[in-house]
Amino acid sequence: MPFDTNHPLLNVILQWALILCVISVIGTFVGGVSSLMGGGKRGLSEFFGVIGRALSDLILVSPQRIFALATLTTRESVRRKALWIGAVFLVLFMFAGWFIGDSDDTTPAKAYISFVITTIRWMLLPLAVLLSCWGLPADIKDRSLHTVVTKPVRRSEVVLGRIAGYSFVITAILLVVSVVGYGWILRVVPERSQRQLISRVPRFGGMKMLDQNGDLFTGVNVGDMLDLRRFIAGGTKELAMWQFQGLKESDFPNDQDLRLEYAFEAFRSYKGDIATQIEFSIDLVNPETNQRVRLGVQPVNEFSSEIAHDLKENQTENLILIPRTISYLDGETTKTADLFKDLVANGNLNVEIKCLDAGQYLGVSPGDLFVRMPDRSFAVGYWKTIFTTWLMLVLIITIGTTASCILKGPVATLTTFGLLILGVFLKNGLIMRLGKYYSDGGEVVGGGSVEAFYRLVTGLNESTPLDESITKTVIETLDSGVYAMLYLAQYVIPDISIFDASTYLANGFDVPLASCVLPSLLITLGFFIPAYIIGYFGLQIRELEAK
Amino acid sequence: MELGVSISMSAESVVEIRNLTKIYRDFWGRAKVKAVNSLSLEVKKGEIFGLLGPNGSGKTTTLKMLLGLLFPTEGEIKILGKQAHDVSKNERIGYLPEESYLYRFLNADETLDFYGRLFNMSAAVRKERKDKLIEMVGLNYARRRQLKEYSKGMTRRIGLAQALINDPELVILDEPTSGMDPLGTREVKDLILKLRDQGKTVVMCSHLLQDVQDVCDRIAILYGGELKVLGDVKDLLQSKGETQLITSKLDPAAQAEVEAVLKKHGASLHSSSSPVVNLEDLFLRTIEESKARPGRRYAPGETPKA
Amino acid sequence: MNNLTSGQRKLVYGLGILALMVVVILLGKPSEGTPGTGGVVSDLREKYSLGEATLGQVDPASSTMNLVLLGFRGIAASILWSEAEHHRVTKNWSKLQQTAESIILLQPHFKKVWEYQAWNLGFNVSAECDAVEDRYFWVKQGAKYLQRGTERNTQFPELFFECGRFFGQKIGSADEKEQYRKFFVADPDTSRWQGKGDGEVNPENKDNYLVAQDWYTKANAVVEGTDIEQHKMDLPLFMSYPYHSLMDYARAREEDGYFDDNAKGAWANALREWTTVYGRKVFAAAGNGIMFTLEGSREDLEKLSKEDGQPLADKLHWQSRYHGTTNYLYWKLRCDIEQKQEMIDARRLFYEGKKAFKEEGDLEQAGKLLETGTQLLQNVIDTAGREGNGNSILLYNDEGITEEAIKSLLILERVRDGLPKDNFPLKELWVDPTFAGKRAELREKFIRWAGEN
Repeated sequence: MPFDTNHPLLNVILQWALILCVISVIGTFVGGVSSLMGGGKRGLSEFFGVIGRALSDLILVSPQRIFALATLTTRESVRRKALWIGAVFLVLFMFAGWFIGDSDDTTPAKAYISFVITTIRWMLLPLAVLLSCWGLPADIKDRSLHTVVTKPVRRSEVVLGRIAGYSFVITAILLVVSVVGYGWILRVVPERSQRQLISRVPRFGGMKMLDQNGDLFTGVNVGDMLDLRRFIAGGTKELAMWQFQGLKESDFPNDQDLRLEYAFEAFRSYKGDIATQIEFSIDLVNPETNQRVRLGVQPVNEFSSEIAHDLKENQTENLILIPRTISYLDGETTKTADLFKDLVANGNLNVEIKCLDAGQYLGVSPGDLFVRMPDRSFAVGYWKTIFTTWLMLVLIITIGTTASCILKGPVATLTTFGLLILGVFLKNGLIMRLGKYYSDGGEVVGGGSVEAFYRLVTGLNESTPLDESITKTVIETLDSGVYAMLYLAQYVIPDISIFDASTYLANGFDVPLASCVLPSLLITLGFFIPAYIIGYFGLQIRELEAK
Repeated sequence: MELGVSISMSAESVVEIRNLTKIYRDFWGRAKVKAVNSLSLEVKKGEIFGLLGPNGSGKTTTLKMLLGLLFPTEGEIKILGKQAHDVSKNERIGYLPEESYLYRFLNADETLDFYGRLFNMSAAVRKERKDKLIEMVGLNYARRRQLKEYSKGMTRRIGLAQALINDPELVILDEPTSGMDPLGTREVKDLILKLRDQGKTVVMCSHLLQDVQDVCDRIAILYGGELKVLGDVKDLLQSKGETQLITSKLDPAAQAEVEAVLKKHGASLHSSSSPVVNLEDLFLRTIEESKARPGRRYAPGETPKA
Repeated sequence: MNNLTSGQRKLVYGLGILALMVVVILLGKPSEGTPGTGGVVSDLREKYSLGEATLGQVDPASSTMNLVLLGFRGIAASILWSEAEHHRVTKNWSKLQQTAESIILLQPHFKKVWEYQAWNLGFNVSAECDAVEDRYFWVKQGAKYLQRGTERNTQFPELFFECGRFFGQKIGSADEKEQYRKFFVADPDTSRWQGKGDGEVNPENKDNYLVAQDWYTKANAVVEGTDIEQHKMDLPLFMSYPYHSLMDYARAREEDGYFDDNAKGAWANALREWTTVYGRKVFAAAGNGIMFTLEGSREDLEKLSKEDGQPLADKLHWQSRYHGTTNYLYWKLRCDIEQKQEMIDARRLFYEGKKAFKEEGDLEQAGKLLETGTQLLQNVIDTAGREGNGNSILLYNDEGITEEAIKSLLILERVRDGLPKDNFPLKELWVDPTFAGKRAELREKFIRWAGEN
């Protein structure tokens, strides 16, 4: 979900460090034991010599040498005409209209933004793979690397230099194409969609739904395949309540309005008055004093934001403006309340939404109502998106370079591409299936792959249990082994989708630090460190001469 | 060892190889080729040491193990007092590979600058070294051209320049004169001698026996990965028990009398030494012998007889 | 092995290239439009109408995409289809639209693609929105999509026909018809269209039924001008749509409350077109090719029979069968009746009576208006004549008049606290069991509309 609010980053980092430590310890132990067995006491001392050298090689790197190697890598890429990709990109943009299809001035900005980001991602991704996977093997094959390693160059510096060099190349290309892309977006987005070029900053709150009796409930499913929104019945006491936290007066200087933005769905159980929309009421409630202020009634404007035209006055965005001083009707009398003095208690504010039309329903989900903090410019979101794209490319370069330290060019390329395809297309499915497997206590209808194959061959249907026999034990052991491997595999496959911030950007949201930028950064770093170590060993234990 | 004096035959060794063996294995780990077999060698500070051998005799493998490019299967290597896999030894080594494995998309300037950076040299030092070396190898006219446009001889020259970028104590040269015209060959040989005069140690291997004979102080001949001959070039090529006389030009009459005159008259004697066999003869003899009597190793000073 | 010098070899290559080029040019030379002017291939293409240009406007983007994809167009299109479905399920409408656009880049000459996705936008997406303006927007998107389909495929009569349906039926008889018809000439997107209709679907700012008529006429032109067939329905029915649109237009104007001379003119026009244009078209009966016209008199058919040699009896038989299929005579009578002043007055009185009842709350006035109105309608019905069993032709053939009449009686019943015991105008509607279902349905609607008494 794009609106994930609390990412337990610290836990993630700790877990990562723990895994790295465990693997290192196991690796050292296994290596030590096998060298002890292979070479006796001398083998063991050699092994620890290698470990010791590795530690110093990995840590005591010289920035100047890395810089020299990076510059060399850059030169190499430039002279190999890698930069031509930029030209291809420009051509693509010249004919971009072809890919966007028939667009007119009602086309929302979304289409253009997605196009630019998608193009950048998918054009630079193969470039990054090819650059990083072919450079080092070519260097080894041409034996130019031999001359380099007869200089006081640590192999770790070669790995770092390569990664840095390719990153620099890709950064330069990315900068050029993203500047072009930015200009293109500003130029081609139709005038009336220009206002969608914005970075909204949402502050989400927790949501709960209360039924007629004020008890918690999960709402009604009106039969939608997309079970995103749950519905409350109109004209009843059912309500959806959002609890916002951390609202500070200082965030809204100069008596700025507090803005609530919503995106609800309506469900009509009968046709009713077609010309009038389903409406809902908004109550602000002080969570401590329970002081209640009815803000007013609002039409649902279902999916209006999908359209880039102004339908009615001021109806381009579903905004509820809350002034600092609110006048409201309490029975017959008009009263006033101060937003921050009377309603917000220690930064907390509850907002209650009720559907007013009897017999009709209002669909809500936690992300459907948020406090819209002061907007940021489109450029902020755009460059954050580019930044996460950059992180993705660096990650790919890191993986590609590491692969090329161990494998030959074509194999490294296939490996990296394979990992990416897994990361883009299969990771989520894998995690989902594994999650189901474990939540079902290791039970899958029809069994795992081995059992499924067995059933296929023997013509046994999936609901018939296997006979208790040695065969069953073998099959189940094998299958649980496969699952265990998949379980490990899911941690090795980078989740590329995290890096895709274009959904935020295209929908006019700022790219959130906590649920997108930071995770991207951590994934890149998290892969960088082990990849660096693996790449170093790959190169270190490799006899360059033997090819 | 910084106090090294020119032309020293002191016991200080720059390279020590003990019992070095290298076995190439195939994919399954089975021994395929024994490229080097129990090789023991020592190279002394300040000498020019030549490694000789036909193709596949293991000389390049030995050099590459010295440099840490290949890992020995057995045995020990000490180079400048350090292990072969210790990168810090490279600070004091210059290496010219067999073919010039350089980056073809760089020009001469960039090449030297790049390798200079790998030694963490400052920009000023790099510039100074660069200018000096390009001048020295005579590539001033082509310093801005990419190496892919260079001829073979030019590539050797720039290769030699990069090997010397760090002013090394030990220079390892793999076929330094291959592909060079006679003039260039002469220049390189002069340069090698000059390096020795500066107190540097040179280890080279070459096919061109005349070059080796011209510059090397000591040589080792390898065959089939084994050391066959090791010793001073002078000693190895000297034929003992014979004398060679070189005289001023004699008229035909005097020439006719020369034997008698030599006994009776004291004609002016310009030099008197043992006649020197050609290194080519020695080399071919060694190879022939080794084929005929595998496993035989010659004592220092002893040479195979034709 | 090779005794040729490099120069000679180049010469041989050059000659080879030249020879191949001559062949290619002979075969593939583009035609100038008339047969015989192009190469062999382009002549064949012309003959079988296979060229892109003969199918409709050529879109360079689409051609390029198909070229770039090599043979993978099918796969790419399938992926896009499932993506479109995903966007529909996740209610990502603008993405759905974009994907639909991409699909037609790949499949520009697939009729079903245009129809399916236009309906997706105009019906499915539209229905998801709660604001009428938004719904109208998506109806327009569907219509525009279909319109582009007709530009790219000038030889699919069905696409033109579907356009007519969007503008006629979707806009004219949806639940939101009242709003849609208004929006059609005064778009809610006022800043873009300055109070006029959306210029992309209604450039001349006409009534939706007249625009629908234009599209149906275009569909007819494709069928009539070429040997292309339509696969929707029996041809005489298919061809009747433009003329029905004229009737719909006339009816809709009255429903909007316009009872001026134009009301009469619209019906007169519909009658004229129905009888003199549609009625004069020569159709062939399905299956046997017997030629006839719907309006043709016995003499006309006799003349036709002499010309084509088909027996007159067959012609009369099939004319009568198709009168039934198309309800030709009823619609002729209906237009004739509707253009009469008495009928227009009756409708005006119903309209005003309804307004007096609902908007002004003047029950007395409403009663008066409706009493006069029902009396007038009774007269019209009596003049229009009855079928053999005594049933009124006007009332028993179409609900257009019946509904209006029953609604008026329902209001009358309310304002007069019940209808007279004995006789009153349009009593047959009130007592005939044929209309019992209709009465019950309308009564329920009426109660919702007017509230319980």
